[in-house]
Amino acid sequence: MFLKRQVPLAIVFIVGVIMLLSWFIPHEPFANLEIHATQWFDIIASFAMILGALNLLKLQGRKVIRRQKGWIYSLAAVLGFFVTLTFGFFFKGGYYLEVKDVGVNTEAFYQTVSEVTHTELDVVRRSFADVGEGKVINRNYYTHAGVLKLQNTLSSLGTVVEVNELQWGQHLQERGTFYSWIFYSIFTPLTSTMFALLAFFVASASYRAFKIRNTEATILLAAGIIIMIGRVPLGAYLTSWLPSWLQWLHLPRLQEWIYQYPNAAGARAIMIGIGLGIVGTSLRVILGIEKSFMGEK
Amino acid sequence: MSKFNSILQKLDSLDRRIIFLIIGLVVLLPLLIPLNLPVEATGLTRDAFEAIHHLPDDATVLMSFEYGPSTKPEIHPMAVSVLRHFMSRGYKVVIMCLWPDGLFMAREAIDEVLRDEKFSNLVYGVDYVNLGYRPGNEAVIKGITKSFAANYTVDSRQTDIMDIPLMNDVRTVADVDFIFSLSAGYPGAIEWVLYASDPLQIPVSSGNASIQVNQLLPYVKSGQMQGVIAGMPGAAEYEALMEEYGLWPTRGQAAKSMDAQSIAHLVIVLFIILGNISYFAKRKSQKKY
Repeated sequence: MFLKRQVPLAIVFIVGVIMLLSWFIPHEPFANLEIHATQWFDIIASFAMILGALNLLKLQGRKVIRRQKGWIYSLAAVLGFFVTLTFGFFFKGGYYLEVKDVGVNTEAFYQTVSEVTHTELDVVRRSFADVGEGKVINRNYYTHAGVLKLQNTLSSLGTVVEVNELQWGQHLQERGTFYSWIFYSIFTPLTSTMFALLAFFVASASYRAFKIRNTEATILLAAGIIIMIGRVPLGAYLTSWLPSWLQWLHLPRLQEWIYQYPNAAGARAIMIGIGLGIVGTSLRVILGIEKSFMGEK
Repeated sequence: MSKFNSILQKLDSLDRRIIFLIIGLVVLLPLLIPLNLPVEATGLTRDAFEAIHHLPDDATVLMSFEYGPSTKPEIHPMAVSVLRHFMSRGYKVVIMCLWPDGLFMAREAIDEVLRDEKFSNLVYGVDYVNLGYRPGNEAVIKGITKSFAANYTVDSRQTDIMDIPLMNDVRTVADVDFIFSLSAGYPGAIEWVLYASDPLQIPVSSGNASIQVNQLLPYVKSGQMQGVIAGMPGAAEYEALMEEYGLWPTRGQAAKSMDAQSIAHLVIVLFIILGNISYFAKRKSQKKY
């Protein structure tokens, strides 16, 4: 009980108080505490990631094994997890060619590079004219066989090229790696689709729910319509005919006024409330009154 | 008359598939047949543009990518425009990401901007650098207020940070002249204001998803942020300003997409009006009986 309850509370109290003090004392040993604290945070966050992954597998795996409702989606989650992990840690791809000697058949070389990299011929010509040897051909291949095919084509033109592969870490952002393939071909279309569907649901929900039931709803509706039309070029176009003495009714101006005054006032009030809430909760955690982080009520 | 009323009442239970179909069409058609509606820059976007444009010629700026594919249509066009603006003005650019997806977004924005011949002389590590993603959210921001090297040992190309010439002059975030956060949520622009900009008095601005702008306006109004680029309309306005200042000659992706958004917004407003008419017709008939 002592290890499970008193020790965590003591750690939270001591660390909380030290970090609070460090904000007010710009001298050693407090001055550099933030650097150490952020590195500690990184280390703990890394372990939390492992815990998160294990928890995901436990929950989704249980659903699959027990064939609970929606188990097929859980299976997709588990498979997605392992496939991404495999490509992130074990198979990276990312083979590319480094030009050692362009050779004499330069135009044919530029033409081939332009075709494989989908780059304009002039850009390729300029790029290799400036730098020449040692320049990398800007296309990565998933497999060694793929890059060898291009190497053979270029070799037949008299170009000397060397096969290289991306370093671990680089494969997380460069195209032509398995990890980036997952990102661009699976993750991107899925998340984009989910977000794009919002437009349809917003339209349907607005039609059904945005009704003038009372004064507040009427004000909200009017402000919403002004913002929606005033934010887009059509708003400016529709009210561009207004004479100068009625310019305040120009929809973009009206929407900016709503944004900057009533809206900012409301947002500020919410922020101050949240800020006070954070101070209160932080003090409760430091003083050991709030124990929900230990799983207690 | 009663027939008309009954039609109005029936509209209340309009099949949602019809609404979906109409929205699909009004988004698709302006993309296929552009209307080229004129884009007018609002004060918020102009403030952000002016703040960037009037930095010293030898300024170093920090650009942080905190968005992913879901908000890419809204934020990526402004990322490209702002990066193009930085590079056109000759500023040194330090890029970093607080979101893992941001790494891909940053890479795409850099590639798109550097495709232009105008920037073909820029050298990686000297004129710009991409430090990549680090986990830790605001802890990363807090960390770089003390030291970049303690948080980033290598950049996104796995080059030792000590071997990057640009980073020799940028030891902490206090060494940059301006911060620009491209943000779609947490961690994002607010964290940059709270943990870097305010404590170290570094000017900051941000490009955001439209839905987020409400939360940022108090910071803009108090002068803690130098304007804000709000969603796709903001990005289109930024593109218009780039054109106005002769920095980029053509309308970009955001301006092109604004036609579709304009018509879609108009149709949603018409739906709301129609929905209310049918609501009142129904209420009237219910009162009658």
